Amino acid sequence: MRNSLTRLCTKNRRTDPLPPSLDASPYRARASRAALPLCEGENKAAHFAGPFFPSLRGSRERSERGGRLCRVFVESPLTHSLTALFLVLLVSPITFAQRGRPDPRRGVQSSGPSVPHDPHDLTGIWRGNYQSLSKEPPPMTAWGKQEFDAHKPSYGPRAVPPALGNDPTGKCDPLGYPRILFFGRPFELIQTKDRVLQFFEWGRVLREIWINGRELPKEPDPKWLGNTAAGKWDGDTFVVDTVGFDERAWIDHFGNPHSEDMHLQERYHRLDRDTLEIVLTIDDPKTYTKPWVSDKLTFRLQANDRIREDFCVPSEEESFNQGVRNPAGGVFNK
Amino acid sequence: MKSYLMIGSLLTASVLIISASAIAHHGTGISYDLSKLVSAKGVIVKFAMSNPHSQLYFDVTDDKGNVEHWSAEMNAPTNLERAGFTRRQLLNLFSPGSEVTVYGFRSKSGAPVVVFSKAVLADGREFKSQGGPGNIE
Repeated sequence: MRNSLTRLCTKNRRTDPLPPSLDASPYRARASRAALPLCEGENKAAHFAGPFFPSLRGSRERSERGGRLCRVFVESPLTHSLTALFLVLLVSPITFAQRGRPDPRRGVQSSGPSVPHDPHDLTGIWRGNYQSLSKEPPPMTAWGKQEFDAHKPSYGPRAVPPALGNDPTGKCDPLGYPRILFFGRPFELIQTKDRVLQFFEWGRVLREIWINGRELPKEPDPKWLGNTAAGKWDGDTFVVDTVGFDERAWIDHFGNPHSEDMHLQERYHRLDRDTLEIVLTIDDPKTYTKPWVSDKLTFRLQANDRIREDFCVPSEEESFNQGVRNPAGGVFNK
Repeated sequence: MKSYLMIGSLLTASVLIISASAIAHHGTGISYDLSKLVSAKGVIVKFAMSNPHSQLYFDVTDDKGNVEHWSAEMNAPTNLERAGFTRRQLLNLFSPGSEVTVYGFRSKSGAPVVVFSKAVLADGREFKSQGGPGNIE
């Protein structure tokens, strides 16, 4: 049987002459095999990583039914390793894409694998999950400490039931800036010719950041979001300076205070298509003994979401307070 | 291997629960005893899908015929919307007069108020918290 097979192979082997330099040695064998047709069932699909690593893929002869010689692929162990690596790389984007599916609970979602983006385009709906600039504020002045002690929050180590606290948002007072960043709801950045608009879902609040060279006022009247916000580009970082804050607002959920003299600087950097980094620096010598620099806060793009209607309605808040919040906090008939 | 998977799942679940708690606003977590799940069976009086948190009001009658007015603090409307629920659907689900068993964590004050975990209606329909301190998933 073996002899008969050898005879058939010999009979059908191609005998085209090779160039003298390739005649003999492995070159001859490889070249003559390369000239053979592929065996039945031997195709690229069966070795789909093979075309990417042709030099690592060998072949050997085989005789098909009827004695016709043909060629089958033989892959080295290294090729198998590279094939595995190739498959992992192929599957990775699919895995990332799975992460991009919307989370129906929080609406927090990524939008799939990162792609090239314009770092000067901050447009999009962004969402983070922070409660303050960082874990600890810098040391406070005497005035700052007095304000801090007067604030009774419902978060953090000083938390009291909301019914016993005095968080301004418990009466639908505006959160102010930057606290609205820490409310857990998304915001959208919209760029126009002369402004970057920051559109917050909570209260559908619109903050204007001027990019037309507007100067900060010397003696600004205090406003919840700040009197004037002026932005400019520093390389790929969008730098926003804001002055004129209403000191009735808290900086964060923990009751950290600020004065009307607070100067806030924000540095926005779009790290990739799906990630916006914001670093805030609060300079408020009346309240803190040194500037408060935030952690690097990252916000994720909410590619499939939209800004919804989400108002703090005083009558609804009052109804909730009477029916739920106050009795849960041990306050009755308030 | 299975043990590692189980530990991993538990750790992941813990992180998710802690994260969900962390995002609860208005200090919801501080008002309730989150260590003990309770249930109360009653009749729905009203459902309100409003800020800052939706609410379910229901009356519980004891063996002697005394009626106690209960309330449950639920998710914020936008959280429910993002979970795919509409006000119309939920008003229909929690229609006044329907029997309901409500699961949740009772207030530390002892008042008949819970932070909502789950409701089971007489016909077997269930509605679960969509995250936050009451979530038991």
